[in-house]
Amino acid sequence: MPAQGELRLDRVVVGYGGRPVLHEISLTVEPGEFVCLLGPSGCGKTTTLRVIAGLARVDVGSVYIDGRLANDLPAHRRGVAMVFQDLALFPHMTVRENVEFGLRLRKVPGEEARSRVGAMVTLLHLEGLEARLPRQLSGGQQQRVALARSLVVKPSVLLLDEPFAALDRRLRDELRREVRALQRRLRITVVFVTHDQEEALTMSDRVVVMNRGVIEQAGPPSEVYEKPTTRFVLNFVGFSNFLHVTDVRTGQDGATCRLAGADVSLTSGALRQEGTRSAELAIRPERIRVVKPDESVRLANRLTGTVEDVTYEGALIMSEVALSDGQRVLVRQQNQSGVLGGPPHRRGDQLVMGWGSDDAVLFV
Amino acid sequence: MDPRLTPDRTGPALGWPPRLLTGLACLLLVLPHFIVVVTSFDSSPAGLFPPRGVTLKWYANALARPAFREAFLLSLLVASVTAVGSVTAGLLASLLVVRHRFPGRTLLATLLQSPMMIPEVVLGLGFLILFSRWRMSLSVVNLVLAHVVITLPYAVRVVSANLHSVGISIEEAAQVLGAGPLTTFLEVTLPVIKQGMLTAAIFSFVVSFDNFTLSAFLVSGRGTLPVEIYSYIRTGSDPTIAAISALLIGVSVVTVLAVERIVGFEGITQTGRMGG
Repeated sequence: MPAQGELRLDRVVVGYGGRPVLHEISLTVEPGEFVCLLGPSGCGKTTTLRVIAGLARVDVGSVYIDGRLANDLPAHRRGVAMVFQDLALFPHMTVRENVEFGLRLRKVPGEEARSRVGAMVTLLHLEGLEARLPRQLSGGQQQRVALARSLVVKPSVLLLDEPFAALDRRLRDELRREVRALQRRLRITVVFVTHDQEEALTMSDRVVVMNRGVIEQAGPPSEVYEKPTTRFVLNFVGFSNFLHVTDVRTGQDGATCRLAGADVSLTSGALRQEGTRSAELAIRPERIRVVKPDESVRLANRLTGTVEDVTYEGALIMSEVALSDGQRVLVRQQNQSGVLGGPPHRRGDQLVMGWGSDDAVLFV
Repeated sequence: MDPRLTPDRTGPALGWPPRLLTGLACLLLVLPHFIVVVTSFDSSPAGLFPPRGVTLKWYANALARPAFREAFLLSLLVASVTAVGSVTAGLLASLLVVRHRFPGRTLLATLLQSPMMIPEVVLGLGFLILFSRWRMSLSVVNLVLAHVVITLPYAVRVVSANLHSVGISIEEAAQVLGAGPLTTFLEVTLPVIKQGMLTAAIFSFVVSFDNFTLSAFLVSGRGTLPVEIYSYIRTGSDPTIAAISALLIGVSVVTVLAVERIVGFEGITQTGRMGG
């Protein structure tokens, strides 16, 4: 028998007939796992969440919660909890009544209900606010009430739909850490929807990148970032240079191509990508090293360009470099030496850039 | 600080023309009421303005006449039942139109608003023919049915707007937390839109209470207050009518003030979002 908190979607289709919102989504979430659904708006991530919660109808495929087929189970019998994007606190109920709501429906006896509400109030730092109405709370406090209301029922699966989108950065960071800590402590399964790649990378055990109703890639954050399998993932998670290349040759131990008059070699083969006109080399700005004239580093690939622009970002320095064929490359360096004496290079300087043969990805 | 430098919070400064227009409009709204109230105290039977003397005898006459008393009670009964019926039907219709997607939804929404577009004379005639064909001769029932039809657009508008602004997510939140459809409706939807429902009830009550055209077709025997007032003026007029009108104005003002105390003025004028 599968453990509590297991979740499985099997070839789920929503919007059969017309243009599907979800197209054969298959996903298994282990008990206690923290999974982020990441993608642009309209990619189907919220619909996936609603399918799990029982708020959206599945046209084809199956949803299993705790090993049980849940397709025909109405939302109120699924035993999951959900924090909505607009929080959806009951405006006419106090904080206490909001948190109590789920327990009351589950007919949890008064004594136990009181102690569980009390524990949640303490856990989420809501002491002293029990008698307030939601509109009398700050954004962060409302957020905590929404979390408390969901967690108090001890759900097997907790669903979160971009709950921090409306908060300012500091509060968001704080709540992210808190939610992650709570999830580890309570050992609950979490499915978290976000369009913020940083949020997905920092919070989750596994990132599921979605686009146009399909899963592009699913894996641990580092894998999704380091080894993207599609151009979409590479572009959506983190930033990347996309450079047109020619003479692509793929062999047993990697591939070669030509970029701005220089040979480029890669250890991995080329990834097939539908709809691409010409071959593209993708490389992240932080993977490109600036090679000083007196420095001897062994890098498989070297390219010279002219500095067009230098942007000071504090911890990082971003340079825009023009290659001999006119293509622009962004290079991000650590600001290690400090720039009070002036930036490491200026507009018009010649710059030698280098990268390893496993730093770039080739799409044909 | 120079007061001329303080920013105008209400928008761009347009100078005196808008203020003058607003003032004139308010005057136009208030003046007829003012004249009626003043006339009701005139001692001459002609009901002159400005009055020649002061008396309360028209008030005494208005209250003493059984016709007016009965008409007032009938109007009160019809308007109350209409308000309840209209809000109930309006709530159900709004839930269907706002919360569900089905073929013909827009058509239904338009149909629900249509009684407002059709001249009441036409509606009145239609109801008259219909009710006599069905041998429905009980005036109170006919009046209530017809009044529910003409007040339904108001109720549907107010309640729909309220449902829209509240949004569906709190209902979904309740469901996910374990509430079935009925519990969700009773514990979440209903409490949150009760202000809108109260507003709709007041609208319906007032529209029904004031209605003349439609009611004139349907009364048999004792009429509603507007109908009785009309027939009294037809046979000859003295300030008794003005006295009744002044009483009605007084009742309206008191009602509005009372409601304002209960739900707040914004609750009446704005059917919008409440709370957090």
